[in-house]
Amino acid sequence: MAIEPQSPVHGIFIVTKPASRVKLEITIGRAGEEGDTAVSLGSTDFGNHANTFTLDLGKATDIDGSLLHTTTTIQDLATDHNDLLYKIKLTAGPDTFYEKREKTMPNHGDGISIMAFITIITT
Amino acid sequence: MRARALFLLAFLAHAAQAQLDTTTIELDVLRAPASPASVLLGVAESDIQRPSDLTSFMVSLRQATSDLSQLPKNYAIDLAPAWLLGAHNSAIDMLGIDADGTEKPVNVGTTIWQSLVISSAVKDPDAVEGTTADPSAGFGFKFSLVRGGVTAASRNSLIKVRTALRNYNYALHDTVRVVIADDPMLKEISAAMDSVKLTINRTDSALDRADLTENDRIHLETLRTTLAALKVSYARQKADRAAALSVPVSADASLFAEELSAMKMAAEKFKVERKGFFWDLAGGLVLDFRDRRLDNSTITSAGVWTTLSWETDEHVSFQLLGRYLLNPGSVFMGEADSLETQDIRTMDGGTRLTFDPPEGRFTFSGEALYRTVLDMDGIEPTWRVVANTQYATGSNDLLTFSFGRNFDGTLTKDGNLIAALSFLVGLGGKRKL
Repeated sequence: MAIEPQSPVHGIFIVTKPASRVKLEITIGRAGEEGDTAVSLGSTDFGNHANTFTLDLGKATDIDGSLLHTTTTIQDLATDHNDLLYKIKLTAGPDTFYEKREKTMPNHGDGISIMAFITIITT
Repeated sequence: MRARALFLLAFLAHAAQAQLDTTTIELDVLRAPASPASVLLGVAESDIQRPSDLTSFMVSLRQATSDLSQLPKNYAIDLAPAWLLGAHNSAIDMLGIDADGTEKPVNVGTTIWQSLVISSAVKDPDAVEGTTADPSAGFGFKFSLVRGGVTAASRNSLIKVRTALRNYNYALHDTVRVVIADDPMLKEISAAMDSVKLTINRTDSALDRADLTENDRIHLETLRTTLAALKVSYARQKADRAAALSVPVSADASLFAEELSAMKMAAEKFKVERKGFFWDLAGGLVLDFRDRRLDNSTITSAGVWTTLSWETDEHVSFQLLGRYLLNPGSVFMGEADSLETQDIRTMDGGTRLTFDPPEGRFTFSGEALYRTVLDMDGIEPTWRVVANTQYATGSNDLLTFSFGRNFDGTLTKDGNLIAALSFLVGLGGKRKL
């Protein structure tokens, strides 16, 4: 069994409405897989979250300049297919940051890990 | 009379595609089929397409229709909408289990939706050389009203998978976080970010002062724009630098050998079993298109199945099964040795009890099957009862015993009693017979 690292997601999320709240959504697919995501923002630990979830990171002005760091591992447990899907989405008011990764695993039980490094700034 | 009964039984065998041999009838033919349309149309199980996502569905469809240029021939497909469309739902979520392994209450609507399978099949005999029969299409459905509960062993297996996955992911995340926190370049970038933020705050404060001249305001606005651009630049560097640091760490499997080993063990042992009360329903029909015209179709076969079963943790299973088949316009040999046409409706019912412990020597199964043809005078219902027992006398020896009343194809041997005692001895290495 192997966990194959995927190319990290990295960039900046520019929030144009400083008063808005920043929300993180990570989607695990496809049907039948199992995922776990560890989330930290700067020095704040948001803990681990199973499968698909949404998390409120806080008010944009309060987390301005902070580095969002997530690590997601998806394990192929479905018996009928080996397709793994990962999506990360940040929203704050009208602003959105979105990326995804897809991978077909050669062996049942294998998995992928994806890290995301996104700096959040307000303008 | 005898010829009529023979024709009817042969017809039932064909309709059910169940190989109703008079001596080896199995009750499983009454169990609600996984793919009703394919069963009614006689499509082999291995030929049924079961796409798990929309992409594979489209690939399957394009192959069957020659890139959507013609109607499919000899094509069967089963679609599970909840799994096909619910790509965001993990299997565990759909099993109705919380993160800690406890079972969540699932209502009937959710059970029906998650277990719903829509099957369709097309059979075009013209695709086979030398035949001229009309093409047929079958449509069917299957769903569960009740599907038991997840066993304690399965829940424990899930908890182990999640724990192993979480431990690995946390170890990976924390290792990278420490590396990033200790990186001097990132510390420098962070310090610069703080400096930029401080300058911007001071600029904002200065703009609020009433005694600034217009030139001062323009100057400060320019400064603020520049600092905002710098802030974006620093933010990008910070994210890029962190990503670059993470790659070698996350690729080093030796750092997480223990966690990976635990994940492997948990994944290998993971399986989902359900016990308790089950209730499945299935139905389907077959349309023949006369003269190969879509606007000239007729129903040639239809059926409804239901299966109620109870499975216990002690490996005892009890089932009640029922099947109703309608075959409109069936042609058969009549009383006066002439061909007659009539709608034939049949009703089958059965029950089965099995006891099959995985580690035990003794296994038992008993079953009863009742069959009747509705709206046909002179055709008596028939039934069959049989009990089977097995006892493993050694690691490679099996004593079997069966006893029962069988019905055969001629319906002339009423009350035929079958008794058999066999002793099987396996040669070669030890293995369960």
